Amino acid sequence: MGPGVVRMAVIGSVLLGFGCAGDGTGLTDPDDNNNNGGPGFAADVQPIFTDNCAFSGCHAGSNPAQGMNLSDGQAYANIVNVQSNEASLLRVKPSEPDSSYLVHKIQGTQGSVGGSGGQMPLGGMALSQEQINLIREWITDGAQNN
Amino acid sequence: MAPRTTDRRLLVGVVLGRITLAMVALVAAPLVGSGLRADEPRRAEEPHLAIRTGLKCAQCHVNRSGGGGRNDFGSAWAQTQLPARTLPVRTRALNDWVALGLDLRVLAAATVSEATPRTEVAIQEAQIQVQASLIQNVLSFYVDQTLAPGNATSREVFGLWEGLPLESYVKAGRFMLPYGWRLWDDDAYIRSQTGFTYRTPDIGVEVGVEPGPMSLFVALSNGNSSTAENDSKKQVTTSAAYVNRHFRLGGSYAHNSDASSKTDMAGGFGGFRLGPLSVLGEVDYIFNEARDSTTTTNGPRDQFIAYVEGNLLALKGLNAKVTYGYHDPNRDVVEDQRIRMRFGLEWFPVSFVQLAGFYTMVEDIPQATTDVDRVTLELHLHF
Repeated sequence: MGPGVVRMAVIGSVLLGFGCAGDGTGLTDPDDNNNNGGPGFAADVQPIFTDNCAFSGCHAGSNPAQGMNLSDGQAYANIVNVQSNEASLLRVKPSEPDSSYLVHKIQGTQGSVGGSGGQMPLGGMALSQEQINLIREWITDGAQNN
Repeated sequence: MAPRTTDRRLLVGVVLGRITLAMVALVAAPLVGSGLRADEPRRAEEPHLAIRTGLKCAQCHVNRSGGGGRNDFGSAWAQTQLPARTLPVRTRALNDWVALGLDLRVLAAATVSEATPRTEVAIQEAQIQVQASLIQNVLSFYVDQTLAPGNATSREVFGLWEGLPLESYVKAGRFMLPYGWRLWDDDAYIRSQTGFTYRTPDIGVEVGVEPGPMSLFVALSNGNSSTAENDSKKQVTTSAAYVNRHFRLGGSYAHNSDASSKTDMAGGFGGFRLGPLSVLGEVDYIFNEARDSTTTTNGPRDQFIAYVEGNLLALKGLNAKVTYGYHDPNRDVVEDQRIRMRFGLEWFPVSFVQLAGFYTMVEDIPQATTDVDRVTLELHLHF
């Protein structure tokens, strides 16, 4: 097979590819890190942690409370499939928000699952229901590191 | 209670004028802060924050029985939860074992009196706090150094050994003794008359046990407010409280004696929150066998003191406060009681900044010289 045949095959494939392009249905939004369209960890969940939790003396710094660092780049590994210190639940159990201790701590329902301590953020205004729902939805969607 | 002789209605104009002067003075305060009165009373209380949050004092303060410098959590909490607008949070840690705290309070005040009108600007406090965590969460050295007013001196300096069984600790050095609510307002009767103020720390040892919702503090100290010890007797001060998310209830007891006097005092304190409203109160009874200079007798003198404070968090960063204080300086003397009331607003516009304006009203016996109302404006920078 000569070079001319190969060249024609490549050009033909490219043209065929363009010719077969769809209308975009089913593809992800480039601004949405989550493939299913739900909340993403980096874009949606981490900012909540950063604004409300990841402070020195709280869940950041050299000695984070409960050994749980929620700083950017640290949070995911500190919560997903990690055993909580206060209850028998995992901090975040993928797909099961009601079995995730983190959810109970921000809802203030930690006592109902054998947990202890105060509602988070400790001593501060509770997260809004919208923020709580967003975290719950992220967990329901599999708690992906997306 | 004897009525005031001054017609308050005639003083409205005076009050407004003084407020204007006081506002100007407040702005100018940082520029002319030197050479001001060293005994200027403090005007801000913080225990209502403990009621509002349902947290123990130790959650936010290095001194686990409350007051003074904030710990890492307290600093972050003050930066994020108090202000209307939050700036990027600054960590107080200089490195992994040394942390820094700061407090500056500048006050502009105007007395409301036809006889002795007066305005003034004063530095209430300029404090720098340093905590060295020699062993993380176990052993700390802490100093709360006063830079102004007056000469530089350490208000508190102690070693703190934490992490003992039952959430207990031992503290040794100079510190504020654990009795009742640790109000910032040293002129509140429950503080000025019991003697447990920010101006009167003492040298001694304190043991605290804080399992679960309980807090128990016992301090053994010289009993002479850090002046030279000249007797073999010591002061015992205790305080215990049950801390709940929605309320707390506690009691205090103190005993002190020397060659010429003996004082016992006991009291109860507590508070609750209801939505944006938080209320706290304290009552104290003092039995003093010391020579009573006011009556030139050597007989015992009983005092009764009460205090109630209400705080309404109107908006995030804006707190309305009303306080009521009652003092009967001698239970055997009728009509000698006095009342002190304050009301005003505390505004936290942005992280690190508190602005406050208060009107203080004192109802005293006609012969008293302290029966002077005051308007105060305060700037507090905190970190």
